[in-house]
Amino acid sequence: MLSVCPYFHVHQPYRVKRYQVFDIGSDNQYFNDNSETDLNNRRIIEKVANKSYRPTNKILKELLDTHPEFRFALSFSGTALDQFEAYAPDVLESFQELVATGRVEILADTYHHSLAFFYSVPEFERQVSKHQKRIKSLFGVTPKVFRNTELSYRNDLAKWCEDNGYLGIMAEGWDKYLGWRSPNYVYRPAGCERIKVLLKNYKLSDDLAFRFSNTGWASYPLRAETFADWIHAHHGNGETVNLFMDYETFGEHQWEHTGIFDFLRALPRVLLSHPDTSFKTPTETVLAYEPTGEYDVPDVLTWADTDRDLTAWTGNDIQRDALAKIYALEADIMSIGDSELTEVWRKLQTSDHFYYMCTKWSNDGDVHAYFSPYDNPYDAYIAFMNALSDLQLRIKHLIDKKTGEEAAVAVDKKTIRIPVHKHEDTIMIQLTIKMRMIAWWRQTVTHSVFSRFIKK
Amino acid sequence: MKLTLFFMKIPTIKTFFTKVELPAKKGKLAVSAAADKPKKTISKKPAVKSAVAKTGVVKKPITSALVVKKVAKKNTVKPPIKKVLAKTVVKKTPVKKISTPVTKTKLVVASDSQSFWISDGQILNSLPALEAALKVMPVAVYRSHADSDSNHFADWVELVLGDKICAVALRKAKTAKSAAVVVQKHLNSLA
Repeated sequence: MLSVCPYFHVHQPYRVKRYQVFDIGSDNQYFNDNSETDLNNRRIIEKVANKSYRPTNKILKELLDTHPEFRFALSFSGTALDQFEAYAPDVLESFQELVATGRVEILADTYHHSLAFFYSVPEFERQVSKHQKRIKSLFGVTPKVFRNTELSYRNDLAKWCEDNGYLGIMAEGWDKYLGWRSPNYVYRPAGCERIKVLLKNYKLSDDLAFRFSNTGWASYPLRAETFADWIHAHHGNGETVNLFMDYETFGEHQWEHTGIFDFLRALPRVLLSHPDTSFKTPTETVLAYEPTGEYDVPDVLTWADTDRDLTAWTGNDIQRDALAKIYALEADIMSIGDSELTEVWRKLQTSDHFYYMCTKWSNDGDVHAYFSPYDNPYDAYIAFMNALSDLQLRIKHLIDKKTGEEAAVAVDKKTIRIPVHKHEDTIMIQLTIKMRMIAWWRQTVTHSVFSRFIKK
Repeated sequence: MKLTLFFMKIPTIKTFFTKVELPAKKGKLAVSAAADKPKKTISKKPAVKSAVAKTGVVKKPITSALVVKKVAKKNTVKPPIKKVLAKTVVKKTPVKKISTPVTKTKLVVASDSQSFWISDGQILNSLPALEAALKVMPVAVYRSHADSDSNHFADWVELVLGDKICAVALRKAKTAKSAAVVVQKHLNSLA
């Protein structure tokens, strides 16, 4: 008996507009680009909805209606759900219809598609909790299987999931950690006793996600029958074939003219033509099979690039600088307790911002360039850091205000009145000038350093 | 009188020898220490100079310098002795000709869940299958399973097929072709 576990990840970030150094202190809207570029979030959602979400959901609903055995899993980032709600509510409704069939499982995730687990576990827990509440309110379900941002995984993350009651966790089935073993079995994460890990069959998954439209590929054009034969070949040497990929594979990464929709329409039928092949959701898979061995991943493993590590987000100095600065704000943000500022801070944690700053070349570089709305990594860094500088300014302003009020209250108690807020505006102006100077300095210095590098 | 004087001289001779030998023993100790940490012997010269400069005592640096000289002399003498010893060892082994008992291990076929899953999609369950796969394996695929840190082929052969001899030989192979030869030879020896 062989089961197939399809899982599609739905995500859209809030892209930072070309935020100029002169906007610092005067414009606190970082994500409201109105241009005809790919930085316009509304435009992107509408475009991808037309190309991918609407037609794919329609096909998936048809497949669920036609094949009672067909089932799959979805995961949503909170930022995608928020944007669907704001810009394409019908897309959100179509997802709700799919989940209402009871054969579509939703996975737990971080709300803001962040790498928070590797920088701040408390913040990670807050985001997971927020995501869980959002999923419950929109779909009426509580996720039982966890997948972390970009399928990032480590032993301690699996342990965290076990301690928090999850039945399973998803990870990349990477040769380095699998060794000679097959990803087509369920494994036990190292250091855990109950939770099971489902491993992505990256070869078969990437055949669809990356190679499907590659005319230079030996198996091009890929037919559903051929793909089903490859899966059926695992009868006898595997229990579950886990096909994990971006939802946007259907229609956005692989355009309609490549035949991806026809492929999707035909796949369940040809797979189910084999009497011993079935579909299972991640929870069903975890409950159906016992672990055949241990999966020990001491270092961070992701599904990105040929390295399968965090270097797509943390590989160069500008990425590490941006990440360090955003997570350094945590204490101040938490002490202020301003929901609007906290939300902005979390939107800036979205891993995509750091992915756009990646300076890898070769095949990985092509993939990064495809996904980036910026002309180059330097532009992504400048826009992000300028927005971050403005956020830092707002935080400082609020902290000063708060401490000023506290001082005023303390002085009031002694029945002496001192006009604390009198010089607030001048302090603000001074700060603005200072921040602008810092941002200008960063822009000129980093440009001179990175311009040579980027032009190559 | 002459006789008594003769016997009285014996202790003086003994002390003479001991005076000569003592520095030699210290020198031996210095040799072993120097052999362990070669950097420290290099740093001795400035240490001696600084000691002279600080204390003004000349005796200690001189004795230590002598010790170093003696060590150097002994080092030059030792290697030929070692060579002789090595030769005798080499000569002895062929004389003994101890025939090591070759334990013929049976060919194991791995179960489905224990089969080798190659990154290009092939699935192997025995040594003959591994040999056939290695013969035509692309460099990139081989490298994905065998590098300086780990060798999945050897791990699998040892853990699943239970063949330690073949596993040890596989770990020494640097290319897919040489690994295929290793497996082929091992299979021939089992036949």
